[in-house]
Amino acid sequence: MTDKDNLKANLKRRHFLLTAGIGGVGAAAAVMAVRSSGDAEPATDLAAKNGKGGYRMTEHIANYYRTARV
Amino acid sequence: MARMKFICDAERCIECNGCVTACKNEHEVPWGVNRRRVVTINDGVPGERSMSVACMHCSDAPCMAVCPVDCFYRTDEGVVLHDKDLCIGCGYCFYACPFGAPQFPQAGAFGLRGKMDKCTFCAGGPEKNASEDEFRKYGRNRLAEGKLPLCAEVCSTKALLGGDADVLADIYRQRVTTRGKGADIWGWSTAYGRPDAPAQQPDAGGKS
Repeated sequence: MTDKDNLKANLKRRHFLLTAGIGGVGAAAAVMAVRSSGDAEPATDLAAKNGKGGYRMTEHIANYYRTARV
Repeated sequence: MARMKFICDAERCIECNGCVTACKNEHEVPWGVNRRRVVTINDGVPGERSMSVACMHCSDAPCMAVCPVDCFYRTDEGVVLHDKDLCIGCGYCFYACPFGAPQFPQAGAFGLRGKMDKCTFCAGGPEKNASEDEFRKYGRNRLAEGKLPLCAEVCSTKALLGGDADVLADIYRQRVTTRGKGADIWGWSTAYGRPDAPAQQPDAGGKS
């Protein structure tokens, strides 16, 4: 085996290690994304922050109507 | 689509001014501006009535008609709001409004009016919901939070009602049919039972 063939074999091994490393980092990022999506804000807060959501029947409002009937 | 309205039940209002205080506190309304106030007639004599008054979010609002810069707009729920970035503080809306809702802070030199301020039905303004700009100019946006105006929610006797007009009309109708109207509903007979009400009969089983 010549020196040139040895050099090619070494580079192939490096590529394998590089691919494995990138794959590991990607998997860790995916796991973190799934975990953070579990702590989502309540729907009412999201509606208030995004867009111009207005009146809708919520439990809070239903309670108010119920007490006003007394 | 629900249409937002206020109704004040004058038979229930006790002039506690809780609605006025709650509004000022919730929206951090400056001194000299009252988005809501309680008006009393026949003060101190039989037949005294009080009523909490603010912007009534008219279906055909005269303030919208007279505004020279067209800064008013109506939301899908029928709430009349205005854009303070467009308002020039001319005061035409104040003269047009039959309820005295538009308020003007004395922000500048003598005779100079600031931007008009009024009840927003706790629905904020044209800025993004719950943003700092919206709070600074118009106060909190409770409607976007899934709540109703605080003045109506804190009312201890539920005299001031706010929300979907259909629901409020149903509540008010139920009250009127229960208590009657006119001179029948105040005085001793209301507080301690109606004299014409039939006496309660004991159960048949208790007579033995």
